[in-house]
Amino acid sequence: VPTEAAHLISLRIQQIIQEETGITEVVDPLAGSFYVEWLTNRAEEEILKEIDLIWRMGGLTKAIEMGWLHRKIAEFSYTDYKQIQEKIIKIVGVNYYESEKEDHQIDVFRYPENAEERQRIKLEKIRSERDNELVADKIEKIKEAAKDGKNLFPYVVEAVRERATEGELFEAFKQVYGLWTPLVRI
Amino acid sequence: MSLKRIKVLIAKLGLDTHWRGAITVAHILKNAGMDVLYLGNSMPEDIIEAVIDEDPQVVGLSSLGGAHLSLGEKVLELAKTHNLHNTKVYVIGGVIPPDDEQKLLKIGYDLVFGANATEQEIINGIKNKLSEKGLLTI
Repeated sequence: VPTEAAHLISLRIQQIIQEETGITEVVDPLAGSFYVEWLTNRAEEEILKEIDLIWRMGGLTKAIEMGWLHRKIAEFSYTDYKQIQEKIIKIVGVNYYESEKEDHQIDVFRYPENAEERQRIKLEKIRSERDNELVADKIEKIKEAAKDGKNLFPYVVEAVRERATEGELFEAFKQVYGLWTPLVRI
Repeated sequence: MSLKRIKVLIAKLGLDTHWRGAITVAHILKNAGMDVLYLGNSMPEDIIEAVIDEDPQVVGLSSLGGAHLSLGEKVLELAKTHNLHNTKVYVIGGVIPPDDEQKLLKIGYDLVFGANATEQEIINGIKNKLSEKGLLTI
């Protein structure tokens, strides 16, 4: 989780781009640039090739079930790492123009120590104030709908209106669908 | 005479889904000739259960979600309870603030790696620790 200072830097960067550069005054500031158009076409070609491949595999769900997608990400991650190590991909300050003197003191966001305890108390309070039988009934309805392959959204909204928790919803889905483990072959 | 292959178990600590680092390190160690088992997301209890079942020499944990201290400590506590602490090398890596690095070493991790660790640092670090702990079997 970023610290407040980190949030502020991020917000300020976006505000500078928005207010100082004038970029928002034109719909497409890079239109007509030969290089950008060429890059866009190339990216489009590559994307369509991948999408076509996924279609031929039987769709994205199939591609994930086969482990194709995760294998692809894994391969990319390793190649990416190798190229950073070999300085083919340059990252200023990390593998390029590194400086010994640079101060690496980083402020780290820390959860308050009693965060877990506070959340537990809050949950207990909610559970003691709501109609637990009604919540259990709504959760049952979600499970039935899930088994029937129905759109779960209305059922979830109803359960949450009665103050069902995220954990209870998750547990219901887990019971019906089970847990999925990505197929990662090393 | 060749070295017996080093067996490594790699897991993602807790619910943290950032698995690119773990999988990259898994590839690095595999390419270095080690047997690598990727466990995926696991809670400390599952990790120790897998350590008992698989009996690796190296246990590598990846954490980019900030749970390295809480869950990381739990793993080593369980390892000590099961007397699995001195017979393995415990490595933890990910987004770990400098202050926490010292804490993790104090808890009992043999090695702590940040995002900038190089391939050689990781491989040599593990091999050196294995031989320090007398776990490099020939």
